[in-house]
Amino acid sequence: MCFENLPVEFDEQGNARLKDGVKNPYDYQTRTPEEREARLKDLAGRNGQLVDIDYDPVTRVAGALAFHTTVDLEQGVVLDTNSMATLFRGYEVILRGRDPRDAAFISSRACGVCGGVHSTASALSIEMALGIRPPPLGIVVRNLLLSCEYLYDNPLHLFVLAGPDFSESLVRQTNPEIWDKAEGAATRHKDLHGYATIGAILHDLNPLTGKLYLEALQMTRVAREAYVLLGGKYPHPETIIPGGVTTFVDITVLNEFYMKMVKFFDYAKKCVGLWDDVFDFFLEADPRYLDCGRLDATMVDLGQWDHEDHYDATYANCNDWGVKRWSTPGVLVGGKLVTNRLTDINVGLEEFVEHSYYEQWEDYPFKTDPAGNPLSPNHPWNKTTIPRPGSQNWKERYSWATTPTWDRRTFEAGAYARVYLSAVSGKLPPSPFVESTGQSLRLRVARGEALPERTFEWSPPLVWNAFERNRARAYAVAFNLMVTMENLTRAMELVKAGETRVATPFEIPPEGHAIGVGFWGAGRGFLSHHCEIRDGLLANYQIVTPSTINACPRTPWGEPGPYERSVLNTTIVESNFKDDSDFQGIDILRAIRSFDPCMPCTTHVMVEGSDRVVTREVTTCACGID
Amino acid sequence: MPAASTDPARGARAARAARAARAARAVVGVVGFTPVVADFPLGPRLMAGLEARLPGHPQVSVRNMSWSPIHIVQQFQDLGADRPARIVLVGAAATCARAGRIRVWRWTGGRLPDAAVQARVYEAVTGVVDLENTLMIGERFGIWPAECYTVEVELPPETFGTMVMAEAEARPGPALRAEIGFDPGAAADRLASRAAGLAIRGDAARAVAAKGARDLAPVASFHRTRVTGTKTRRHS
Repeated sequence: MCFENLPVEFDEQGNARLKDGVKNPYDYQTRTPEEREARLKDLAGRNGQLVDIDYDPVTRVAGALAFHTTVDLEQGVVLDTNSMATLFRGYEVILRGRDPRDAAFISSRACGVCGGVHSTASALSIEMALGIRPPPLGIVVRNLLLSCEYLYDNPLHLFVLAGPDFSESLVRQTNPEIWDKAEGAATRHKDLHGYATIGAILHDLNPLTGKLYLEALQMTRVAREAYVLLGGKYPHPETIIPGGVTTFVDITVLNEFYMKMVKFFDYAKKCVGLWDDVFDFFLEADPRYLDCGRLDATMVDLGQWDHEDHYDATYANCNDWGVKRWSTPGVLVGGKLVTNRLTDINVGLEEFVEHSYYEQWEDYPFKTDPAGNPLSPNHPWNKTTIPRPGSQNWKERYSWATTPTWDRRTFEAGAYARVYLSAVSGKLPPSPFVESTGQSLRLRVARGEALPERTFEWSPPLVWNAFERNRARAYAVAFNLMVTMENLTRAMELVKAGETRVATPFEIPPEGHAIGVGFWGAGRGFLSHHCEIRDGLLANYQIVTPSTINACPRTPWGEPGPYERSVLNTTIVESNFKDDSDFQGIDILRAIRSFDPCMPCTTHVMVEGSDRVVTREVTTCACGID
Repeated sequence: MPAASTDPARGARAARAARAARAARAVVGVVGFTPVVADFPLGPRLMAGLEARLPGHPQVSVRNMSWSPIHIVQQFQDLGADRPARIVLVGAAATCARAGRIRVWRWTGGRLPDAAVQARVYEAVTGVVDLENTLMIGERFGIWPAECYTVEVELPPETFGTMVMAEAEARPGPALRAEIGFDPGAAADRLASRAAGLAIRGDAARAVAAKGARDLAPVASFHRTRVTGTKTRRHS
């Protein structure tokens, strides 16, 4: 029984149904934050230290995320937060009425960072709707491409985006007392990274000049090069299609790919050692850091990396092939695993727009999913995207992100969710490279150019916070790498066995009605594409991205989104300021950045009025360039 | 040969283009190219205009530089000694005072605080293509030759979207020109003319105004949020 809030129960066969006697099963009470605002006004009147700060933009692309915070500097606490996505994406509108074969190419442009994951999620969605099962080699190559994206994305975040927040230059400025400790603090993993003191690591995290920063830029390049070997180009590959891939694969190509991966063997070890040392240091240096971005570990992941022996693209079997993936789908509520079934995840998914710039839709075409499980009117298959631009109002509408919930809870998405759920589920297929114990994730990282083979083990922490998100992301680099090795081995075996087919041909039926969903993941977690195909055209298309999930505004019943809640829980440890004029807000930024915000995923193009497309001219995204 | 390339001729063409680019003494790099709208000042008409003006000048090549500035840095680092001696970057100006105006600058470089450059790197590695980000990040990593120019067109904020919708709705040219306040096709032609001229001849007379790091528009918030309370400060 995984649902506590939705009136859904299960029969003995595990089929979901609505509970009897519930008159309006999907009703909910809306609540405006007026009480909160009144309280803040009262506090502001009595306390001169109350400061409103807008962090705008919070890194990652064109200021598409803005974050409003109210801080009590004297008490060192955050009183109020609002996360805003400031641009409209609109791909759901663009895709309506198009040929399903266009979806992978068009939806790919939803993000200039995760340039291939949308293609794959879209392909999976169309495959399910039209009953297309890719050949084994097509599935495995798709997995390898995904791994490259993760190997590009996670180190980039750790060292180039989040890393500067922990660098010498920043820590000296905001917390000189922490820097003093860092200079003399010995590391525990010198054998992995070569640094004797924490201070030396923080020095090399300095943006633009630090060795670790510059090294990460080079490593992201290696990952992109590996992607291009198999995918032809990155971002926005044109080789990912429903039914598989269009790339040609032979042993030579796979060997070239392997030579790229070899460069990550020692780097993955280094990532684990470095970030274990850095985060252990901070948490020991000041225990108040435990509160930075603290949440209760409620997260959802759809799993990725399909097993070629099990994936058949059907919704009917998705619970079976889902748990055979190389990362396990599932839901954690308060750190407790409540389900691994993709149908449960799908049935519990809803999107709300009470605090977003969208109209509520009226249609409710799918009362159940294809397996007969009940669906909410707010489920993506029932959703219609109707933009309604308007003025910003914290009580009403303030974001272009919607509010996705699972079982009426906001939840986190991230690379860390992939690690966490795979660790506690204990369902990974047997592999010499990765193992889930049910309490931990064991990663056997092969010998590299300088370092011997090492086995790492990630276990869930007692407190889930910004530091642990990033720590799990560092382990995710090794996780990605070893899943890559597993799939590379499989690809080589398939090719040696004479397998050459990488795609299954298909036709779009000119008549008929079908729905599908691509359960997949981006570098920063949960990614779903829900499609409806009617008479050969896309009748509806809905994308739920990780940054929509993490950056969402409040639920209709007043629960803040993950960014908002995590910052509300953050204690201000920053010490080197006199007043708001020199307050940096580094603790708040660390909290938000730990989610790896990627706002182009949430937002891209703004529709103003009814049908006007607007972009920021000077920041033309590489998405559109071939 | 990359596995995904199934067209040998395409691969050969790419190799020839790469060799030509390496051998080029001057490069015209278009930052923010989009193939979507033909007459968009940074669109196909610009590219065609550049190509038309450059026959007989094999030392000049045209490159689409609409990639992350970090990727551009890595591409130029790869060129090593084959880097061009002169580069002309064509793109949208950071600000728009007069729609359609074209201005030419000689880049004089300079430094900004690391935090200011890192703010541009944040954008660069996450998909944003921007002329001034490219300039500053390239400068920070030392990839630009001594002769570096920019040819910038001032575009009102909604130009691209307006042009996309005008094409979709088959709106006549005069109506579009009235709406955006300038003739985009003519702007593309002027951009091509100025960029090609600089690439071929340079600016020996030093007639082009100078622009350095301190002249760049700061990385600014796209969206302004409400600020309330007793004391306020904006962090960007």
